[in-house]
Amino acid sequence: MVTLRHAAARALAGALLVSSLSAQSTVQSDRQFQAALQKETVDGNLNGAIAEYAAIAARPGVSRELASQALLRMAEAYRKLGDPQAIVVYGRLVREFPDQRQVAETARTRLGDQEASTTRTGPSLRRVHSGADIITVSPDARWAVFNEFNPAANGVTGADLVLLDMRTGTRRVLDRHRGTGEYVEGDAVFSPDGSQVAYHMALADNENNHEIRIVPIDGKSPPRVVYQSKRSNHQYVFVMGWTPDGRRLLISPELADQTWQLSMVWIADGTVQVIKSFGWAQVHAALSPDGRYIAYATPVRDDDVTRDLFVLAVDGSQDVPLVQHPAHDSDPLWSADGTHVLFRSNRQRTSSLWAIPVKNGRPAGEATLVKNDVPIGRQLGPRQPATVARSGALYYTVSPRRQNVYHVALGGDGKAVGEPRIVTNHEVNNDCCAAISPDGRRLAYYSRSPRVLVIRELNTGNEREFQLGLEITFMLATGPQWFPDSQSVLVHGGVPQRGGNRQYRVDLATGRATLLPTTGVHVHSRMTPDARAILVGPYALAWHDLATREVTTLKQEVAGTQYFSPTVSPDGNKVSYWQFRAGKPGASQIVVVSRTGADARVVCECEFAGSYNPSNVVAWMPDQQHLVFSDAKGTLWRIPVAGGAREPLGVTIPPRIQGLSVQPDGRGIYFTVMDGSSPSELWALEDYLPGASKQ
Amino acid sequence: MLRSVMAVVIAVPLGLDLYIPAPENNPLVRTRIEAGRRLFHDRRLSRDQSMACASCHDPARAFSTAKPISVGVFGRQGTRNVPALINRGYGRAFFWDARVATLEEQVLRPIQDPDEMDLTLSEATTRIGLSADELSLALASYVRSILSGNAPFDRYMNGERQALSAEQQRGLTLFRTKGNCVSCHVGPNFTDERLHNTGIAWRPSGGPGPAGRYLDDGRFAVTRAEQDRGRFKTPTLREVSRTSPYMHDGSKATLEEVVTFYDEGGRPNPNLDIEIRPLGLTPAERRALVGFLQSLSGRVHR
Repeated sequence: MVTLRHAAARALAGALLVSSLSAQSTVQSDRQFQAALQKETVDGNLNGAIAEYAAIAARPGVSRELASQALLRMAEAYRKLGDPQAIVVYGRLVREFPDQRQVAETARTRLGDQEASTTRTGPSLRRVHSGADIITVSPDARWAVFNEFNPAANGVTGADLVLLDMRTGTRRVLDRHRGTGEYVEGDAVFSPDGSQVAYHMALADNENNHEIRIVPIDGKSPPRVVYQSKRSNHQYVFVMGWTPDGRRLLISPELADQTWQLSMVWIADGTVQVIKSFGWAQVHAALSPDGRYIAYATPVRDDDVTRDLFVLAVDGSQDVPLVQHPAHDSDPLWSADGTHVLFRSNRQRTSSLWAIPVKNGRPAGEATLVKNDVPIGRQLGPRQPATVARSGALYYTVSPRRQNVYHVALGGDGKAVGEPRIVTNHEVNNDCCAAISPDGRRLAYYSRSPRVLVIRELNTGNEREFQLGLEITFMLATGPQWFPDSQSVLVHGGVPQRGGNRQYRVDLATGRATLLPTTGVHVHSRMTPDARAILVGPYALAWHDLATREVTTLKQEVAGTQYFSPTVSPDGNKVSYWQFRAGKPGASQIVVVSRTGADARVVCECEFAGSYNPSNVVAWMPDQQHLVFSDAKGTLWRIPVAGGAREPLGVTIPPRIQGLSVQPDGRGIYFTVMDGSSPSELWALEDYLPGASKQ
Repeated sequence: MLRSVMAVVIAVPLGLDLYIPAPENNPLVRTRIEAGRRLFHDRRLSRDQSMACASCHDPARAFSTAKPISVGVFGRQGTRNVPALINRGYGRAFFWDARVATLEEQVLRPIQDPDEMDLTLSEATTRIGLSADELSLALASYVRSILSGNAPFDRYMNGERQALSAEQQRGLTLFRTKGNCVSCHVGPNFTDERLHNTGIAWRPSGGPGPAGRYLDDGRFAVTRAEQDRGRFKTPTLREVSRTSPYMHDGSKATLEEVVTFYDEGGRPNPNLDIEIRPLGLTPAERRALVGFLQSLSGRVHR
């Protein structure tokens, strides 16, 4: 596809430039024009191309022919972006370049199209709520629900289902789980009449049971269970839709083999009907307003997590491709009248909202851009990222989450020298989990959404982005880890043809990701510096030998105890981990132990809040005499391995520092500041579909 | 509780997807399924009129055969085991080497294979008075309608806890964990529809000289890619207790032998799949796994 696009760009460039290569044209202008075309048609960087076209048109001495071509391409780029500036540029071409007949005629035609299409009011965006991380809103947009985490009670938290009156701002708990270890998860749907909510519960039993419950919003009856993952021998589930007759829910269960399905569950008796089974990638799906179709997004190739969109008939009679595009198209939603499927795409690099007309479960036209830069902040994937209300308005939550990679220099005394500074800007506020290479020359980190691996040359600042075809796992700042050759890194991730969280070795010379022979490796893990084994937590602590596949237990599983943030000393002979014993306040310790499990020593009784599982928050200093760690308040500390008082490094950046990576020379440390403390916002986008009627 | 739903014209048994993929030009309709069923049993489709599709794909054996290797007209020996033709409507690749992507194409190949039915397409269509398209669409529709579900496993998954014995339940757990069977045998049809090298076709040299060789190159014959040597498509495990012998070469006569083969880590070879490794199963665990596999036999709907 890339080849075809390149060829198309070259052909376009050739056609446009034949007439513009007059004596007045400079080679520089031609090159710039070609570069701009490349940006526009190959890279999809429309804003970048616009800037280039503008510069060409303004260049002194440029031929009128080339200037007009540049302006025309600029207007086309604006048009693709849905930017009304297109009209201005087309108008300028008509007025100022009548001698460039073909260009002027094209502009005149476009101007007519644009003016016709902009007679409507156009999209409007407004913020309707700030505070709670809204899951979904009711069809009449009067109500919203969210899950609210409770403070730890004896180290055990819980999450309630809370109803919010959008008119008055009042709130009421619909299902309470204070300190029970049970959580209302982040997926829920309102019934078509808005009187009930179906939502997802994670229970605290030993079987990792998940339930779909229904509760009336008037609070007159308690929640009732309509689906249990345990009963169906499934291990997870998402609730995604409610049929208009009120009788069934669209759910997506995860089977015990970690593959996914789209199913209907009958509310009356809990019977489950599988509509379609999928592979190991989660399915993003939405039920049409008439309940007849499911729009879903799934990867289409084994070696690529990029998704396309399809429409599946609920009665199983058809399954039709809807959007097939090289970009990552995901998170489908139906317009209120069912005439369009809305979806997110990264085809313009940032998260943008697109729409495609649909009729009888089939595409009825081309996908068009609805709005660029729609920063839907809720977790991507099967959870509904947004809701379309009956009015047609699209409600979506923006979580002002910031993740940035920092560096601070360390002096000989181990204290910070100077202020920490952000050292990456691959995507502002969306970089995380950096690790410095053993040779100290490169930084590996994750950026963008979906996540990509970025390698930064520290001496030049040059960066290379790797599209691995993996769904990179970066939860809890589990970042890439370097192999000792400084030429390859380990990443946690998944691909459509392999289940679960797996480990891959990425060869930075070729960009190829090779599956490692590991099973059962959680993100709470750390590879040894010699890359021979991975130390895996958190329920037990065990060595997974990468060559022999042997698993050797270092710490046995003990009920209520977890081992977070395992870290191996540079010489590979010692291990540190953060031990947490649930239900025992203050029983949170950093422990150092020999590789074989002998000589365990608590080096710090360091409390962390029970509200998160710390990962990659302890690191060894190269001298092997000290550890550095971060606490739950965003403070960095140094502590002697042999025992002694902890000392602050002089760095505190609330709310949380994770992803510690110490320079091999000990003169600095990289870390990620994860700031999700700002309140979430609910936004409403209205009048975004020119052809769609309101109900 | 055991809800079966009519998907257009056929009853989809418990445990299977309601959606059965079918090409736009071959929707599932009763008349075509019925025509396909007749053709499936029609011996005119073989050179000497001695064999029908059903001769090898015996409905009484979940559409498989007891012979390790297929035997065609005039007693000609094939090279591979006859795969069970159940739930193939959900398939995405056909034949052991996945050389064909649609059922419509697949159903015509055995008719034309000299070692199977040995007719040209032209001869076949002349004999039965149908066009090649009609023959293909009808046979594919019939194969698509052959479904196996509602097995004890399916009933167990739907909440009937007594449907599996305690040993079978242990086997199910092993299937998903220590046995690592779910690396390939996934979903309702217990197959990822992909190709893997388990080493079954590999023969080590046992001495000096070449390290070994593949008796059957598998997928390599289609792609000519070295990493595809010895790779074969994952078969469904539905009805597996009725489809012996096993593997692409029929070299394993019993489920016990199959489980033992995987327990021992397959047969190490240059292309061995990364998921295949020694499992360290106890005899009881092997028995439990076999017991679980036996729970995958239900009723074949045709």
